[in-house]
Amino acid sequence: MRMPPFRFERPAELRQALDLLRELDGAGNGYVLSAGGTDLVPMMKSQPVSVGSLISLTKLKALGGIRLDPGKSLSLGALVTLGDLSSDAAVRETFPCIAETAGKIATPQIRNRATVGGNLLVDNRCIYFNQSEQNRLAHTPCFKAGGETCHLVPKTARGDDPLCRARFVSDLAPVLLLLHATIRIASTAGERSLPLRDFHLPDGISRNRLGRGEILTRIDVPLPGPSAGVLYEKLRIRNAIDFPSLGVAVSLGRIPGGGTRFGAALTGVHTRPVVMQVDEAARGSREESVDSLIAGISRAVTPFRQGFFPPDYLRKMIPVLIRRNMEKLLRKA
Amino acid sequence: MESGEMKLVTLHVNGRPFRRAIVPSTTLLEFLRDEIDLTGTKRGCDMGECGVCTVMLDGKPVLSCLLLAAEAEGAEVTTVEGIARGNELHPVQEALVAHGAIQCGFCTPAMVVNAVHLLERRPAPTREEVKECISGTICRCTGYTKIEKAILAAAGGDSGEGGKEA
Repeated sequence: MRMPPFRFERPAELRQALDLLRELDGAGNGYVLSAGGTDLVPMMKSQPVSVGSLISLTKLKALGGIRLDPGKSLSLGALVTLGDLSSDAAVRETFPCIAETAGKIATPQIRNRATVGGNLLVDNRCIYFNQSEQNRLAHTPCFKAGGETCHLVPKTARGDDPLCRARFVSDLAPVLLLLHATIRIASTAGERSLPLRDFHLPDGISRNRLGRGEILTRIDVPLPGPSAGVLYEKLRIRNAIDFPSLGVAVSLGRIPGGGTRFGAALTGVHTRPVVMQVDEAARGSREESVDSLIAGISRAVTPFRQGFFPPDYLRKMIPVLIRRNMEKLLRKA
Repeated sequence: MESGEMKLVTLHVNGRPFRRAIVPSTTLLEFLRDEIDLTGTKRGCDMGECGVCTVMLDGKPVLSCLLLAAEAEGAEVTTVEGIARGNELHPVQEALVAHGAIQCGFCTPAMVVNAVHLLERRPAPTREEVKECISGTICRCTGYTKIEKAILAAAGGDSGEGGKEA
């Protein structure tokens, strides 16, 4: 399966890469950024349109490495592979949940190329969009494919937000959200950083706030995390390869000044990751806190039929997975 | 020619350099099979789902259908053709034959590459580690059991079920 032709550039320095992006934007030329390429290449093979230039980020040292600043933060280069993330000693020591979650993504071979930055930027999935050309010919093109319809919510019209309900499927995002990660983004104008929770958008096409000319460089996770940690459970048919049909991360920590903070974050069942925290002090009992967390986060998501699991089942599994993993954390606490 | 722009690349495959002019969209899989005639690496789904195109890049298994050939410049590529020493098969290959772990054979090159990598890292793997190692490669014939047994046997004769394998 041949990809449409493109120019290939592999800049050696971040500055060079950013200048190149600005130049291409200035000339009105298209480009895509590529790290591991494990999400991008299948997309390019299945789409007939050329991307213009493919800018490989794989030589940029500024985007590499795992740096532990004890007592302060764990900094993950956007180019760190999921394989390295899952086996890194510093990650396993500080945030075992990050390593364990990375190890649940895709397959061993894909994890050796796919990156942590790429996982946060992974394209949203929809059963009507991520299909072979033959299958897509059976439907009128949807908004995400450049058409004028949504097969999940047919009454959607251009101008609506969200326009596209393709679901967010990153496994790492819910975990990193509960760990209050921030991301760093570079452009020729300099570097900005923003909390991960402000990064993703509720639309399956625009998806996130990474702008033209910008490169996601690092993910910083502040230390220490929640005292009892974070756990992630991934619901899927196969124990390898599959994106999450539903991914649930939970956290348990102490509030400064007393009390317990319960957190949960979901992936796979909405256009963006959803995160919520409830403080026991504000809610009375532990049970009430967890109940209110489940009720709140369940209201915030809209699962659709996207494969084997019907949406009703996915809705029923949200409290099951939250309670199951919260109990594990409570036993540890 | 689908694009006017060609790119000259030199890839190191199984210890030898290969210099070719390619279009930038050429994948490593296409480079191996179509440019340098190493057809041991198979093209299955070509979309990163089936795993039969697995090769090692700097010693780690990757999917050659998802990797641009140009990205492999400066790295060492090992394909199934680089595993045996002349006519002497690698113990993993011997074990796959001995255990009847090959039917149509289409996934076998990938299973070999994955298993050789596992045994380099973990000379005495558990059955769970073997399962994890081949979890990204689909076999539609064997049901995996014979492949698992073969890899465990190649690691030291224990099939993981208490009995000795023939």
